[in-house]
Amino acid sequence: MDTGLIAIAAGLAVGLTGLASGWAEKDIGSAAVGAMIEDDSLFGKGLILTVLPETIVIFGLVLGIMLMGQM
Amino acid sequence: MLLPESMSRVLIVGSKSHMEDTVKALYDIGKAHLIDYSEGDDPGFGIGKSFPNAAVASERLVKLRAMEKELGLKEKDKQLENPVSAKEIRELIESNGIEQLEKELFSIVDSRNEIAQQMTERESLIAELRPLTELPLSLEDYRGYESITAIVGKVRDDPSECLKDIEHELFLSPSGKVAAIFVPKGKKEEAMSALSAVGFSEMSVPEGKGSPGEIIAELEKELEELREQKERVDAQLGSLKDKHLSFILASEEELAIETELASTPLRVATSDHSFVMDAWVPTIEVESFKEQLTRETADSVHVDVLETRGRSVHESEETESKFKDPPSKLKNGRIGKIYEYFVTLINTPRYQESDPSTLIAFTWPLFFGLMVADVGYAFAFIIIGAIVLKKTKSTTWKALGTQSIFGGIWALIFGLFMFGEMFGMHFVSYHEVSGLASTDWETIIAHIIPGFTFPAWLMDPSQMSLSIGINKFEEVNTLLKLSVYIGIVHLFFGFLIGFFNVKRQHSTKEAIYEKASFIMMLVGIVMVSYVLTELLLAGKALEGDLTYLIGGGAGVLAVGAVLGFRGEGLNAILELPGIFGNILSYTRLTAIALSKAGVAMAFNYMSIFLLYVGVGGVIGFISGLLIFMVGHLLVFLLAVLSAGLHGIRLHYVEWMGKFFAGGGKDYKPLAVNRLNTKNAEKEVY
Repeated sequence: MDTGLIAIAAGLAVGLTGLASGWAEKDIGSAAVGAMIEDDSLFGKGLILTVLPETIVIFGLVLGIMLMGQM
Repeated sequence: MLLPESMSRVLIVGSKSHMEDTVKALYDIGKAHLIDYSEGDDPGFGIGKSFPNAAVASERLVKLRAMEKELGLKEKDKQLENPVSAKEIRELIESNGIEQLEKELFSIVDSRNEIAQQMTERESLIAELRPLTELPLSLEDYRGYESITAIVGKVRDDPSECLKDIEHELFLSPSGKVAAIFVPKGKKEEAMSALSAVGFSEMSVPEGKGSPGEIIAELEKELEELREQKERVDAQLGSLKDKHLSFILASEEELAIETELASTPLRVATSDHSFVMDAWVPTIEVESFKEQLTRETADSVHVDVLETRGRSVHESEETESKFKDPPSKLKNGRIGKIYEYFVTLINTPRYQESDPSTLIAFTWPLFFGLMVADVGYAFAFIIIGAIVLKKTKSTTWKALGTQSIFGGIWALIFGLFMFGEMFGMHFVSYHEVSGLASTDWETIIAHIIPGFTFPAWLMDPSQMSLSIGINKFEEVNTLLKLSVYIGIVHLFFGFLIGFFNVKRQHSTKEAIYEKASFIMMLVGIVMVSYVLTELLLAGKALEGDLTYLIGGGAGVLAVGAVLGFRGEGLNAILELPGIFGNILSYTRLTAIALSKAGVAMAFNYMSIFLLYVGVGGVIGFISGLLIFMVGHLLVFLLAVLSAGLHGIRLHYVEWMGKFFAGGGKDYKPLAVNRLNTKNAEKEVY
């Protein structure tokens, strides 16, 4: 029973944070592509800005991995 | 060591008649970053005029670029394998080589255009005639009547029904799409409006005689001839391009240099008889610069070193606005120089602040290696990096290739000595975790070569304690702790660089308020958090050392917060949770290593048994091999994205945010950069 709940919790942690990151990145990504059309040299900055929200899913992943350790 | 090169401001004064020599000498020396003069800065001075050769040179340059367009030269063809002698090119240009080539080229281009125009005319005529071939009439049948007129066009349906009230004769094509209707001259309008019911659209009938089909055949024959002619002309153009390519590219470069040189006076202050230039020169080279310039201009200009700019912001604030910001000439070693690319991607460091390129050259590959940490992928990264470095000339790819090699080397070190892993599989399984790590390389190789074992000195834990390989999935907590510690140390150094930046730019007092406060908060948070985890997770009681540690930590944190509050106001307090988030952000080092190892293991789990237990026979073997290869390729590509991007992101966001402001000016000395031409003798341009 407990093992199952832990697995569900780990899945939720990774899945929901993944959704959140994606949601945030979609806006930044489309803005970055728009900016890149104006000026090619913005590629580097655009890429970096786009991966910024990835931290959210990293925290989720860390939580998930730690939860898996409890199983 | 990390600061951009120290700069000195020099003043160059001379009589106008020596300006051209001086400009040439400056380009030859290639050290002076000219400070642009703007109109109205000084009474009695104005912006200079370009040298007399500028007009001709730029006119020729425009001609050349027009010719390049006609010849269809692409940006990537613009590099010659063997540079041409600049002197010869200059002689060719002087003897009107460009004008002659232009004449030759444009006579061909004109005839090509004429052929193209003739072809278009014929093609449109054919397009007009094509529908008429469906009707049994010759061209002369449509014209030349006294009382009737012809209406020709496309219809959707048979028009005889809607024309029944009008006197007419109808010719309808067998397909029922094209119709020619002959009506009395006065009835044309009426017939047209009646025809709109069947979707009639009128076509023009070309002048001429004979049946449309025959005329088309004639035209097509002519077209064929024109096409052949065009091919011949195109071939002529191609051979002209091959013949003159080196001349065109070399003279373009030569003229671009000449134009730039000739327009330099537009950036310089001149009076009726003299000129004044302000320029930044690296301090260590200023004496040799002065000496060389005096020599090359035969002592006809006066060079004065006005100041050597310090790093204090106040010193810069006090000067005239155009002298406020000296350019940043970044000072790094051979490898640090390559990593400058990644720093300038964000921004050029200011003259007064540290340039982190060299440090990034060390820590980014380290982080990358920690995240990849696999011998198999490490070799792939090293090989790909080496190939990229060998093939490319662009700064971007050079930087990426270098990072790939260094990252790969660290990944190899960690993969071999810390995790003992290749393609997500351990060399030797000292830990048997059921269901996860199913097999290891030793077992697999022993299956092919019976009795195989790795040599004991390589794998024996007692001889080399790390080589047994830490199982990433068993030691999750250790690895997470490790990444947090790395984060704390990295951030600490970030704040430390910030401290020295502020100290240099303002004062020690401000550095303590702005940066030392954060260092104290960081240390305080770490101490308190350590005790809290011991209490809450390990379940220890608050006694002994832990009491002192949490007390001390809270104290340091409080002092840091007070200092920060005095320095930056409420902002400092609001950033407190940010520090905590920054530290935790470094857990991605472990999280990404684990996720990649996990995906690799999943593919191994799917494929290894198909490969070596022999389930499923030949088909099983092939599909196992496919899964193995595609899977690991996928993990490798993910490693490029995740390990590479997250590694640099930690530097950009968490680390450089602690000290880096950016917004410096690039150091762009007056200098000539030749690719397609070369100077045999020592001369300016």
